[in-house]
Amino acid sequence: MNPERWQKVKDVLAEAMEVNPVDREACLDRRCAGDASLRREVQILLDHESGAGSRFLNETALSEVSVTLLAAEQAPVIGRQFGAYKTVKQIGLGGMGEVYRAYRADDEYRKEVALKVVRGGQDSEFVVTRFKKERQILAGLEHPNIARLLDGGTSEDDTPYLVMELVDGQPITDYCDSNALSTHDRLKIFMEVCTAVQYAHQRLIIHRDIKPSNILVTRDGTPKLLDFGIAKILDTDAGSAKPDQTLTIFRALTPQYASPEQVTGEAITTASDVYSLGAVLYELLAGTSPYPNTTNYQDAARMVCEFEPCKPSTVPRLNGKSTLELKSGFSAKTLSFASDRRRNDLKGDLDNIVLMALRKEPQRRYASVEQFAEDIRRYLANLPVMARKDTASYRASKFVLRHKVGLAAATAVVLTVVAGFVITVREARIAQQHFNDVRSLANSLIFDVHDSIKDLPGSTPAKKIIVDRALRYLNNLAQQSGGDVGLQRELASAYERLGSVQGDYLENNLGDAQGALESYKKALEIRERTDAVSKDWNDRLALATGYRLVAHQLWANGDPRGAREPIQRAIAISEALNLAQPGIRKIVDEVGFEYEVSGRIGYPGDLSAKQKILADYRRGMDLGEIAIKLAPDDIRTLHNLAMGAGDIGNILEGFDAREALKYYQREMEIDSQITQRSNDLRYWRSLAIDYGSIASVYDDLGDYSRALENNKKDLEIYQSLLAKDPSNALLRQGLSITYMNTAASAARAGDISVALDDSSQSLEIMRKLVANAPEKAFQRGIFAAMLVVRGTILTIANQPESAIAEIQHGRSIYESLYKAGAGEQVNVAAADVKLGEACSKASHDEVASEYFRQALTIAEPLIPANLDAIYVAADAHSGLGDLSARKAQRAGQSASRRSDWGEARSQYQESLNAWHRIEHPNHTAPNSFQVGDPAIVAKRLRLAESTYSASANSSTRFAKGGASEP
Amino acid sequence: MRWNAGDVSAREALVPFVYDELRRIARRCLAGQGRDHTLQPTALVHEAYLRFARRDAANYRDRVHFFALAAQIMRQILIDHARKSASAKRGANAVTLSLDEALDRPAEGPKQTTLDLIALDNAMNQLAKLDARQCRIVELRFFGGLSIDEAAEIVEISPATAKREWATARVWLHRMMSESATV
Repeated sequence: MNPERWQKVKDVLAEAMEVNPVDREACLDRRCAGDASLRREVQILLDHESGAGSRFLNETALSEVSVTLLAAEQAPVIGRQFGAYKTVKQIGLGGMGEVYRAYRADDEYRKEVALKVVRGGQDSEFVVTRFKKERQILAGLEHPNIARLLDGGTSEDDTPYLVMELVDGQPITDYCDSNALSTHDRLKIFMEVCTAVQYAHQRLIIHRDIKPSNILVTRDGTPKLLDFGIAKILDTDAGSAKPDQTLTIFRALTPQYASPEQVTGEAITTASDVYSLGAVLYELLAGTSPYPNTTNYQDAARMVCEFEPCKPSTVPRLNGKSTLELKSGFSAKTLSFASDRRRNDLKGDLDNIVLMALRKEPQRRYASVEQFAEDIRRYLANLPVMARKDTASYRASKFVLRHKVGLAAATAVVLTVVAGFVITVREARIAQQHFNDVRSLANSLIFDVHDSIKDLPGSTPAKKIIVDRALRYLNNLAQQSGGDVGLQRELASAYERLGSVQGDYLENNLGDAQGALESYKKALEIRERTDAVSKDWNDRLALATGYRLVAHQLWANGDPRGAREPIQRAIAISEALNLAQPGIRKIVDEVGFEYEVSGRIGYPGDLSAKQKILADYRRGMDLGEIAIKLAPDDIRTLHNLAMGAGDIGNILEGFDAREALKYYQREMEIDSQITQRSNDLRYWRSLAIDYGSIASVYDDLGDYSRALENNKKDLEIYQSLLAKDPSNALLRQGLSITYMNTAASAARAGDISVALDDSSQSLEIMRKLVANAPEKAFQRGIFAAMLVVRGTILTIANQPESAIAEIQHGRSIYESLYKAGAGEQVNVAAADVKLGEACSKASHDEVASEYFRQALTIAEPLIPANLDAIYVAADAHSGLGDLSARKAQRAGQSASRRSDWGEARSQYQESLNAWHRIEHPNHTAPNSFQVGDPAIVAKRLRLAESTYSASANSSTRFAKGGASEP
Repeated sequence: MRWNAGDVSAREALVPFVYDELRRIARRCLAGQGRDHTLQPTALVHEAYLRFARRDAANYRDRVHFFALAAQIMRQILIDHARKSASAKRGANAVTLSLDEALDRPAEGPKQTTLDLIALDNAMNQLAKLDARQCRIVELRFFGGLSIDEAAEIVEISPATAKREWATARVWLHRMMSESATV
């Protein structure tokens, strides 16, 4: 089929699909009369309409893919072999994967075990490594109330699995309910659980995922804790901290039982287990979890941190029944205790005990599980308990205040990873075993985790926590390790990261510029020390980088003078390195960067500052050229170099157009090279813009025909790009701008008909773009400028009335942008000047004069800071001068004649004064509008002067039409 | 005059940013996050857009452009993923549903269908040769998760036309995929 044929088929098909099925035949008969093959084609497609059904492509690609994955994952794997184990029956399904009843295939006793298959994007290698590390610790956990971890590994297809003691039992909540246990009995069982947790805590193992489904009670009433330490094996990815894995982790965490610090990513300690135990006890006593149910993780997490659970004794009853009754469906008789008696039990001490365990701040909970259990024991023995009523809401609100940033940042997800690190670090510090682990954890905290959340909105406070904490560990380690150079390097890098989080103006930062400087200085100190004892050139280079960072921060903090010294040192160090070991890209890149920073810092108070800045940028570019030689195929480096050349051109353009031209041409050459290798749209656009820049310099130089030539090249590229991608709005915007540039350039070259054509093409495109997206202030600003430029061209073409209409439109846009805070007021004044000129051309002298004066009223307060305003003043005064001169001519011999010449003279003088304020006068103002010519103003001033002096009695005629002179 | 210098750098910044953001989103879904229905692709793309838009309110407001690019990138990521997992499955005793089996399941039934993304990609490439705009609409809808109206806005046609284009494209693609499946 060819495209034309398809259009035909499509037309008929669409119509047939829209009509009532009954009328289809008739429709096809009519539309396909005499074209049997068309009819056949449409019929085949229509047959597929029902085949496609409602689902085909109507679910998005992502949900299709996840459905597939889900289906594959949930397929149970009964009878499959995992290492030496064979699965028999699925007994559970969790966020992390499935649990099976399994047995050891080579064991003649066929002892049954629980086998947990780990799913959900977990890196199997990571799980196994982690398992091996943890196995020894967990193997030491021998307690009658703890289910043991027996084995672990990966299956043939690399799925990690863990083997645990099989416990036949019910979750503690279900057990208590189905046996209708009394408060007393519930507390007894719960205390047994506490002894198991306490036992593990003494061995520095934190459970981290205590919840009813992890506490099974066997038929004989023994509670067994499952999954001790498993959360840790599965949770944290010490090795790579991949962002996807951090996301899987939070799913494993059960927010209802997770402590606030777990949710916000604070340090996890034994107090976190105290909290989770408190949540379980709450549910055992009140029949419901402390927080309202929600399936949304974010809500659940917020609830844990902000919501103050009500006392277990006051849990609301539904229809006169407690939730417990509703849930278990037991008769009122078996539940008699649950209604009133238990409620009474709960009042007072027991309420306080539970709520104390559930406090938001870890340090305000029971100091240990032992204390928690002890308080329950005291309660049961009718002794006074430790727990007191909390002034809870006050406390909670304080907690929320402190943690709001973290929560709002929605980084809880990522921070759970941090939680994992913290506990490991804590253990390691005590055990003094995992020195290297801690080190790699701290580093991965700083680099991997930090990088992975870098672009999350609001993640900055989280980044600070991460870097801060990691820094603390590294500092501790550094103290313990004495002069270990490797550690010192890591510490310095950590300080540099911290500095960047605190105040790198190029990235989202905490706005702590002073703190950033302190951190960079600390890093530099360490770099100095390290370099002193190291022979590695990398340490020298790092020292240079350290100086560069300090310099850059000083500059950013508003101290460019202070920044000069460190940047000079940085350059001195790395230039020497570059000399000693030429041709190393890492060094070349650093020196290049340093020169760029040096140029940016500038040379305050130095008379030849501009030259020095240029010299810096030029040296930076030379280094870029070297970098290209080292990596000739690296388009990115080429592009950087091109942009560097463009930057220099940009600076030079203001005062040395010829020199600027060279750099723009170099930029264009490089970009042409790039476009020969890459068809990427953006490089073609860069090339088009290069031609535009060159054209603008030719404009400055008064070489209008060359300017036009280059503008046309610019235009050609845009046209061909747009032919390939006709609906690309950005390209159309570019094309419109290029048309207008060409028009302005043609007007200057004296080619009015091209100017009129191209400017009208330009506006036509832009008008549509603006109508489609009226909310884009940036685009509307461009549109306004175009209207004004078009008006100027119309004025030149002697169509002042049309010009006035266009410019007025432009002016009103400028005004509304200014009022909305999206544009500068000086643009309104610039439009007023153009209006004055058009009115003057149309001989509306009064109105013209008003516009010029209005322009001056706006512009004068902005002088001298605003260059555009100076241009506005220059043109407005000369416009007023022209009007007075014209009036004087018309006045003939009347008395006002002399005073009109006097007025013209002083206006021209004012205009020249304004021109003299401009260091490098140009015929376009920075706002890109064409402006007058001081030479012409000076000529008219001389004329007005002499006529004024001579006018006392003679009747010198003013040269023909001063105002209309080009 | 250099009004357009600004938007080149905007696009410069845009491409890698959009790509990274979407890759992250797609991977999050591919890693099994998709089962959590709070992570709807459209919402995610919008979220990515908001983040992107916040970076520089003045220059980066090209919403239309963003979504078009997003859909394109999403297609690339998902097709790559499908290719990779297809080659991983090869050799293993994975049963692949034939297209009819996969597609003929009732829409209300359990969502166990698998759509052959690679076949779809091929069919879309063929459609692009016949009607590039129509193919773009499919891309925007299916990979970008946009509504008919949003897609219409992007390709600059009326919603009614977009609806027709979409309906006929679906049927055509279904046919192409069935043909390639039966060969």
